[in-house]
Amino acid sequence: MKPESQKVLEIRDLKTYFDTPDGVVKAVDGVSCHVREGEVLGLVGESGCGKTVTCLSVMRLLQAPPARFPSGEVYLEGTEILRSPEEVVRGLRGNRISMVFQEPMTALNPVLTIGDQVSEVLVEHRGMGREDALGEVKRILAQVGLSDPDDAVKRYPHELSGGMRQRIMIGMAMACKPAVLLADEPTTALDVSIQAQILDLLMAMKEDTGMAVILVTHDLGVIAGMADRVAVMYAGRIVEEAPVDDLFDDPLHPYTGGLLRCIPRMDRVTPKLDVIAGLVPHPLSYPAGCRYHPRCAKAMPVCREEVPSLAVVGHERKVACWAWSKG
Amino acid sequence: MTQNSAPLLEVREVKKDFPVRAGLFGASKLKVHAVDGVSFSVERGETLGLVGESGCGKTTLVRTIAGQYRPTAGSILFEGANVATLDRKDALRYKRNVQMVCQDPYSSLDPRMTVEDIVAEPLDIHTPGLLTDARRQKVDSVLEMVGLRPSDGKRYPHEFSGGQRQRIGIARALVIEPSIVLCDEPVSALDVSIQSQVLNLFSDLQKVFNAAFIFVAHSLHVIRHTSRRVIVMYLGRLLETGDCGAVFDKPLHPYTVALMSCVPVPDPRMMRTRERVPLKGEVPSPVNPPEGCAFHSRCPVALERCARERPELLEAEQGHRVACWRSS
Repeated sequence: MKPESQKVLEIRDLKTYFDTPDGVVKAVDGVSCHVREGEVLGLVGESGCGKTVTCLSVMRLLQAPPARFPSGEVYLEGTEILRSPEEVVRGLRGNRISMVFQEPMTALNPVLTIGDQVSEVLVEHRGMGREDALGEVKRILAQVGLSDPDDAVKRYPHELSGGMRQRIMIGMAMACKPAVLLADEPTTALDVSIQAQILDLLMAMKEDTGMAVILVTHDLGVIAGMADRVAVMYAGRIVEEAPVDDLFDDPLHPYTGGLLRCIPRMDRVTPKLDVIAGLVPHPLSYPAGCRYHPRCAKAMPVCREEVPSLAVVGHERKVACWAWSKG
Repeated sequence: MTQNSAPLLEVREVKKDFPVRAGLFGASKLKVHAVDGVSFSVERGETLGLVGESGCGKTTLVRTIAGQYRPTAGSILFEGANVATLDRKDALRYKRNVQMVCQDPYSSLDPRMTVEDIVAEPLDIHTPGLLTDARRQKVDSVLEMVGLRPSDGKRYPHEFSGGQRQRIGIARALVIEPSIVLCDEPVSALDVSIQSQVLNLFSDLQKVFNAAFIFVAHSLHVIRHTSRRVIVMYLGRLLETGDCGAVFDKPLHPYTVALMSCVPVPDPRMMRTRERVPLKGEVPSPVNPPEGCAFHSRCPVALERCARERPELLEAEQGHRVACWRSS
């Protein structure tokens, strides 16, 4: 990663709310982050913290209503896409920005052959004829490591293993060499040996094309191996952002520290694991102030009342915690 | 059924095949060899981890032990007696002694039953005629042990979070004080911060109940933290077994070595510098497993012999056994 490289994707104060019969779900509530050319930004957090909704908002894949965006701007290579007309987004989605989903079984269309669905992207964005597109698809499938592309294009998703399906998803996402790839838990459904293969493939593709990657995962091990920079999300907000080494060496937010301490590790066996007490708050009833305060051992009176903002506290380091703000 | 010198549970050369469904006419001759000749024993009060990738037969093996499947070949012995030939009364006693904690805390609890009725169901089956007060008392005390309140007994599963539901599932398994608790991926559906709470609960409960725990998990970390002994499975076979310390600190089977080197560790520097043994390809189909050693098609150090002859599980060091031609 070159230090002067461009911010290819920038998210500013993104808020994604859902209107439900029970109230407003503030799934994403003021997220700002960016990713540069050739960089991997890890987005980490527990389920329900808003990682996936952030990605889907950026891809404009959420149905509105029930979704709405009370605030926020998303710039892809300088173009605002959150409020652009659908035609503009259609030209960019799958072309300049792509997404790899967690579950390759449900993300692929079960009634189309692999050849048909992967070539769709090329026909749509590159204006290729069907024959040319199919040839290109075979080249892409070979590139993502399928041993027999001629056979694979004729297959339907259910005939392939989870690892192969995820390779195809990556091939499809990479078909037009996008500037930004959003990878939402790309290996969570896979076994460890296949996970390693898929992560290697993603890294090789990134090196090859210089694309920016946002890697969404709950697995801090995957983050440690893949990310250059990490943003930690909790209850719809980013609570900490740091270069990967700094985050693991010296986590600033109590939530990050708690997460790191509570993972069971192979190389460090303790009789008891550290725990984060309590539960992730329900999105319909977030606590006031810092949303982590009911679970935080270091909570102060101010944490219960006022929301800490994500403040710069060092080189490329940001944290949203009253213990760190000088105020 | 009281041969106390016999191990609590012994799995002897157990095989479980499933027929592959054929077309319209005639039965298929193809079979999925889900468990392919597995032997091990479990002592009273010990914790045994069963680790392997999906499709390796972990769940089938556990379900066969639980009596949900009848083994195709081999036998399961409980306190020295073959489970398949028990009379009605002893078979019921076996079922009472073997309880299961399921993977998915959402689908494994009946949404229309109260927590008290869910937890008390094993009592209702195995100790009929229990007085209402005694039943309530047992449920209350086990709910407290798993970190829930007795008043939670009046509520329904949907009112609880995933971690709390898993606690309900654990309470249901423990309420009749079984001697074997089978835990099939008990924390893999939970978030990290909740996972550690439930893993700690297991280690507390192991001290209170003198039951043997069999943990099935694909996560090596979870096994490392919960189990004293571990079994590594691949394609329905047992490749390596021994104390967790021995197997994880000094793995002997190339599959265990590769598996351990693939596990992501939350340490960026270690991830950059450590040596990885990449596993080529995917797990072969259990319908048509490779000849010889099941792992030879993906093994980085396979010998010519590995493709022809199946290695036996032999003792390499005290209590540490491995099925590999390289080690014998």
